[in-house]
Amino acid sequence: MLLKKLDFTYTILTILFSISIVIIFYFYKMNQKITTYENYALQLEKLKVLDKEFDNFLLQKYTYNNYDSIASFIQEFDDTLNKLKTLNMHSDFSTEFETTVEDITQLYQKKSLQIEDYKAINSASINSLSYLFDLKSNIVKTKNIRAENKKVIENLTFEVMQLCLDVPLNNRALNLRINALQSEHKYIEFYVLHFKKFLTYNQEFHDNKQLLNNIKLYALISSAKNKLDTIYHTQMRENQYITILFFIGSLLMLLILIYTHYHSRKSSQILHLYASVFKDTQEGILITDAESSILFANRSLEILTGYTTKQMIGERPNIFQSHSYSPHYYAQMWEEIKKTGKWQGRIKNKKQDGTLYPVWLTISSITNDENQIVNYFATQTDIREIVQSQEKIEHIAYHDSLTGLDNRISFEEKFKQSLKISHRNQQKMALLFIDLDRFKDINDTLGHHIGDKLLLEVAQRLTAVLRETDLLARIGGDEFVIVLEDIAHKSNAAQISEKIIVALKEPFHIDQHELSTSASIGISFYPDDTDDFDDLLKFADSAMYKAKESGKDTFAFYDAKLYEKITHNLRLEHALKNALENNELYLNFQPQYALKDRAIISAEALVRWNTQEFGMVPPDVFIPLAENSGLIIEIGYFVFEASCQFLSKLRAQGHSIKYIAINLSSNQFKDTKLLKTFASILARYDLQASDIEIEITERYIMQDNDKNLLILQELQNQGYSISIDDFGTGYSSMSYLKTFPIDMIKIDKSFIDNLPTDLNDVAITKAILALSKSLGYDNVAEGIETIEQEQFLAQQGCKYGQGYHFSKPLNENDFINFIDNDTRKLI
Amino acid sequence: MPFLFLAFFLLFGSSVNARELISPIPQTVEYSVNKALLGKSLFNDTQLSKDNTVSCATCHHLKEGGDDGLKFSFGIMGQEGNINSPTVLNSTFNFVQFWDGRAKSLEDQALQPIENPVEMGYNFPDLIVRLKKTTYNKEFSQIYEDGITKRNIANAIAEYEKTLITPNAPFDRYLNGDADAIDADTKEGYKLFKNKGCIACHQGQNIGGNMYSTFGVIKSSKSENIGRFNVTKREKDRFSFKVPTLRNIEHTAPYFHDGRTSSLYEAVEIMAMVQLGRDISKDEIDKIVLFLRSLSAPIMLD
Repeated sequence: MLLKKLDFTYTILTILFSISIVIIFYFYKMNQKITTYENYALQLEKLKVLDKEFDNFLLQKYTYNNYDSIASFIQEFDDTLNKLKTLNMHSDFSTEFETTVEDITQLYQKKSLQIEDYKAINSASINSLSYLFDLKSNIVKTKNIRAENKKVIENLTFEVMQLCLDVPLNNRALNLRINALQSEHKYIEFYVLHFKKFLTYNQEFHDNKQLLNNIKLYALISSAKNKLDTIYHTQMRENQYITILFFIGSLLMLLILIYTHYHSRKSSQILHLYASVFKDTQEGILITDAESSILFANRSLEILTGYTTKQMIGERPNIFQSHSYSPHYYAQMWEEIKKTGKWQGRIKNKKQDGTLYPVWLTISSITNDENQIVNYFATQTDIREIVQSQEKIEHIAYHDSLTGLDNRISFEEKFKQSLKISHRNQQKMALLFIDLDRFKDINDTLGHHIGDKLLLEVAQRLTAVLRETDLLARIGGDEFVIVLEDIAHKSNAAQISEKIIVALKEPFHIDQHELSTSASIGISFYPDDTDDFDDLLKFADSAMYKAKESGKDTFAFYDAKLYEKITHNLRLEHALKNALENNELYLNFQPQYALKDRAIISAEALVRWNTQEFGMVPPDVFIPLAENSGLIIEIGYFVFEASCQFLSKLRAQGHSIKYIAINLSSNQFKDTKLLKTFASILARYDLQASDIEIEITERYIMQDNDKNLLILQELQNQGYSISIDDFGTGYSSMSYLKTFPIDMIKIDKSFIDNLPTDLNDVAITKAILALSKSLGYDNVAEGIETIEQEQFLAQQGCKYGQGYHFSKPLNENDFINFIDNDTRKLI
Repeated sequence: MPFLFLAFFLLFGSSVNARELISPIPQTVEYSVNKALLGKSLFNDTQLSKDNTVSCATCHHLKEGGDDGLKFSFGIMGQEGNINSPTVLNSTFNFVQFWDGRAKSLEDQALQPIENPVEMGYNFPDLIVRLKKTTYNKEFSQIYEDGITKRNIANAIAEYEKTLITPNAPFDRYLNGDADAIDADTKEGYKLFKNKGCIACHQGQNIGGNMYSTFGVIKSSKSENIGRFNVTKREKDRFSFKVPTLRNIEHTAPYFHDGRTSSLYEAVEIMAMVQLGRDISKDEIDKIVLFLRSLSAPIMLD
């Protein structure tokens, strides 16, 4: 397998190498081709330029000319053409190109002949031409030539000039005219001779030009160049494609190589891993051939059996047989292996020294692709330790590791067992639920190790108090339970509880500490309270809470009503969680008005909860629940937002309400985002902080917390009015009041109720009003229910009031109606 | 009308004074010294002829104008040729070689006399065998990879012939700015050379040697040789010859392809008659001859 992979790798490498060579070769070839092409292209371009030079030359007729340059162009053309021919055109490019070059040569030869002719014609003609002009001058000057002839000569000379300028003239007519000249002088004879010659040259030029026009050498060279380009570009493209193809191929090979390398490295790592696992595993491993002859044994098997590998190899595994089993047993084992390919089970084997050892034996058959068994594979797991530790684990599972007492699981098992017995025997049982008072404080202040030691001591004292048959278990941190079986009376349980309380009240000496604790014990009875295990525990637990509530260090029996209340509260709390989502909360507003003219100044927002499950739940029930559960934060925002919404609605309708008074719970102040959220809600309704009065309870103020004070100050700074609610009910020290940021003091309903008859309340109310006045605070009296109360308060200088006498809390619509219908009440 | 003619001349630049149509030959040409030395040996070696009697130099006496002073040259076994041997001097500046231009290059030219039966009458396979037995074998091998070959023999001779140039003739010196290099009559001769139309053909650095012309443009030259017709077989090329160089003309008599006269005066006269068809005076011919004599100079190096 590995060898195969290695071969594969070499093959890939070889292919890769070959491809690289081919690519390099191709690049080399391409480079050569480029050079060759450039060389050819250059030669062809040169030919084109030279042909242009030829054509330029061929425009210079009737001129004295130095033919050296045209001769050198011809020479150059020859050389270039020869160079092209000597290059290996046939193999470099196609024969087609070669033929084209041959065509160029032939055409060029034609053209060069015409050029030579042109030169000869030009030289001869320029001689005649210049001589004609000389002769004309001489004839004009010569006296013994007739003026008539002179005139003809002048005219003819002019015609000559026109011929030079390619003006088409009738040669025959000219010949007639020249022949008509009378040769009275040798000048005229020369003139006639050269004139005729000139006409011939002119014709020759013309013929020459005609021939040249048909020799399209430039076009041929250009087409050769194009042909070259086409062939070259085609070949280059082919080469490029091939190169790219090879490149992609090599890339692919490389990827395969990387992949296989990675893969083989991984699998060899895995093999290595397997081998080391095989060798070093704790389990004894044995491999045999199909005839059960041992081929391999690992180190662990040597240790397990006492045989060395050498001794084992070649033997059959029956050397381990302990003869504790019948031959039938082994036969069955092999039967199963044959059938399912596997057998496993606990078995006792014999060591070399004859001792027996328990093992977990697994035998598997290994088959080849044809499904024939080729090997057997056996593992022997030493289970001596497991057998021993099993007992240990059981103990751990069922016992509290700290105290050694039964734990919750064991307690449950045992208690359920007891329940069955008690049921059968119709006996009563008591379940005592013990919780140590202040244990948490001890744990927190002195540390866990002290707490643990304390628990251990407690466990010991409890054991000492109880009968041996009584079940004692620790089911939580400092929670112990005791099951008293077969009790005649509830008083028996009470007696035991007393004993326990006494026992635990004794101070504990742990390390250097003298620790005092006590126990609160809740007791439930079987079958009087319930016959259900879970309920018994729950009831005992609730009873324990009752004991705690009644001052700790005592015991309490389960009380069904109390339990009901607790569970009811739990259900309410649960319902409250969904109240906002279900739109069960809403606000009522109670008008606050000026006592002197009964004008509505403001309104106190009062949250109401109408649940589907429980109907109307009064605020004094659900607000504490909300505070305990933390729901108050969310509810508080709801109240704030709904109040703002209502106020902005009122304002939009043209009602001028100074502010809305909103109650804030002390828990809300713990919310760090409180101020920010309030500000953003205000901004959303386009309201100012001064539109809101924050009502807080006197208790909150008195907590005398710097942080609270800071928040309060911040609220006032931002413009909120601060009002103290329920004033007078707490333990306020009046002197504190002046240090607080307060705008308004609310006089609690309890002082108003009995006004003006109860002298005590009269005195308190007067005092509050006087104090407020001296500190510059306004007052609201809440809970005004009679005209007498209202009148008394007004007389005493209380500025504002609220109560059923004026108006009960109203829902939004009613509130609006209330103001609308009684415009008097508005400021 | 006269203004019109003037304008016409300006347009065509036909005024022979408008620019110099003759340029001096360079002081030197590029050549390979080793090849040229080898070529010099070959040039002077009679082994190139079949019977070992004729060398290139037999017909091209370098000190006597680069030709042999004979009407027709003699080849091996006393055979007489049918054409006047042209000068080898400045032949590198000719656009083709031979009177009929049948050789494009000096190399092509050098091959032909060797195999011409009336000249050296030899063949290259035998010549190469002959030369390989001599010190040439080594000399060639040192220069040419493939040693003695037909091509290399021609190449070496051509390389030598390239060196046979004659710069600094008095007229060249005049053209190069030395106003006193030629006298007033010679200058007058040059003027006539131009005005009589000679310069229409004899121009360029070799004062000829860069075009063909019919011998007898105006009047029949009565030539027996049909000239370039042999090469092109075109009727118009009958009696067409390469216009020869006039350099060292003083020393290359007899003149014309058929050596019809040994007198330079006569040669000019013939030209004026058959080529130019012009009226020319004795004095004018004398002056032109003076000018022609100013075209002679010794070989640059020997």
